[in-house]
Amino acid sequence: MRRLAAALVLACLASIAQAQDTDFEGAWLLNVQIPAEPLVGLLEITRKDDRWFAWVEGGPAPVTINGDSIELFIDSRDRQGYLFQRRLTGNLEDGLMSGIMHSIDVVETAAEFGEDGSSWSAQPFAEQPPQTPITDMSQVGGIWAPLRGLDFRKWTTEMTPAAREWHAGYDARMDEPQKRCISPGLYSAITWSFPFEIVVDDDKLVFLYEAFNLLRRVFTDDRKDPDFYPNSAMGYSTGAIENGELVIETTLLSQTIRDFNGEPISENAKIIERYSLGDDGNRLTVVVTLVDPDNYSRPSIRRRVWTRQPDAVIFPFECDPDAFFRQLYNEGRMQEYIDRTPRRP
Amino acid sequence: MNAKIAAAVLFLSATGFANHVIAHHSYAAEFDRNAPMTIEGIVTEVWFRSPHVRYYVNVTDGDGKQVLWDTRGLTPTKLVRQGWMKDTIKVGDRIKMYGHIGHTNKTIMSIIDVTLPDGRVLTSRSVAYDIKN
Repeated sequence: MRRLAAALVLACLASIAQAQDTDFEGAWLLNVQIPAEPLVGLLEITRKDDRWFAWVEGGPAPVTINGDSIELFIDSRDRQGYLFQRRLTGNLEDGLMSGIMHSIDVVETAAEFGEDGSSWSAQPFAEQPPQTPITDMSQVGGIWAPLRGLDFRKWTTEMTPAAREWHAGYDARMDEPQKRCISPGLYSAITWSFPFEIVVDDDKLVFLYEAFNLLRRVFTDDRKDPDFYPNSAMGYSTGAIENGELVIETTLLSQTIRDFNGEPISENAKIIERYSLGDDGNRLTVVVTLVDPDNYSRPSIRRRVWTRQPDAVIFPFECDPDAFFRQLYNEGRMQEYIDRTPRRP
Repeated sequence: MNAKIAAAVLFLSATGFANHVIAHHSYAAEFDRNAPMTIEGIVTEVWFRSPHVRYYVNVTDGDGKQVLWDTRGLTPTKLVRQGWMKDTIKVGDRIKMYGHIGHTNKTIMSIIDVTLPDGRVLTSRSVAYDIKN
């Protein structure tokens, strides 16, 4: 009898200590500890009509929650665009989630092949003060070389019905702008793995990207976008320092695609970049948020990190679409390409 | 290799840059992840330009016929940082290429690596593990 009582007491204590599944609701900062390539993402969880829903970086992520345990699937793409799944399993304890990540169906030749079995954790989302607060624009000036990691390369997004309809007809082989040497625009270009330089001027920052020789001006003197400014792939940008971060807002974008999956970005979209410094000002991190209600019911997020490298050489990027068109000609698909012109972003 | 390029290669290797090359368009739409293969042939044309380098390679197929393959690697700026220059592979070279072939066009290849006439192997992809052995 004494043993039974003790067992009951232990069982009660365990049930009190165990997380209630409602504790999972809310916004979390997700970290996957892949050696040399940590991943960071915003995880949002909610419950409706006794069903759980989750999003990672603004895209849907199927989730199962049972007591204090969680299973989460994040569809991602590798660097070449091949789709695979990241399966996170773990538990919630003392307000923190943690567990193991498994990668499913990764192409064996992809760098992502080595990440299976990494540990992950999630803590309640809260704005973190930057390690090295930006107080002057000159702090971000210089040449920045890409480091590995941060971006999940989340594959699916929360598209509107109109966006889904447009996207159903997308053909990356024909329509991807960069194949014919056209930049897909700011949202993609920021996350590409090329070096870039920021030149600091009194009233603006000039970003010089190696990729596609892209150039943008970010005005920092409180001016507003002029009525006559045309829409373009890089848009019209203004920037300011807020709470130790460089925050850039870009509008007047032209229609383009979000990523390799080819989801649309409209002319009404806004892109918000939040740059922060770490490592005594020698590491630059950005969180890029795409707000485009015409196409997405939930903002989409991407991330990138660079290291300061004053001695880096930024090479010219002279793009020639000749080989793309030659292939279409050889495959007898030129007419198909021309027929698709009206719908090409 | 001049001093500036040498410095660039050195720094990029030190930061890991050269080891995590990244595509800037979707290979998945065009190439079959499940069909890596090796071809061997004579280079007929070198196209060392952005967005991706291409090598046209004459390959003798199983029936003894000459078939022209259209193969492609990374952006020149990334290859140069690995020491893979415009004249590393020349017209007339006999090379061996390993890569993914097209979903529909079976004579196009996305290069994973190349074996040069002198036996050196160059990588055009981020390869976490060598799966060929």
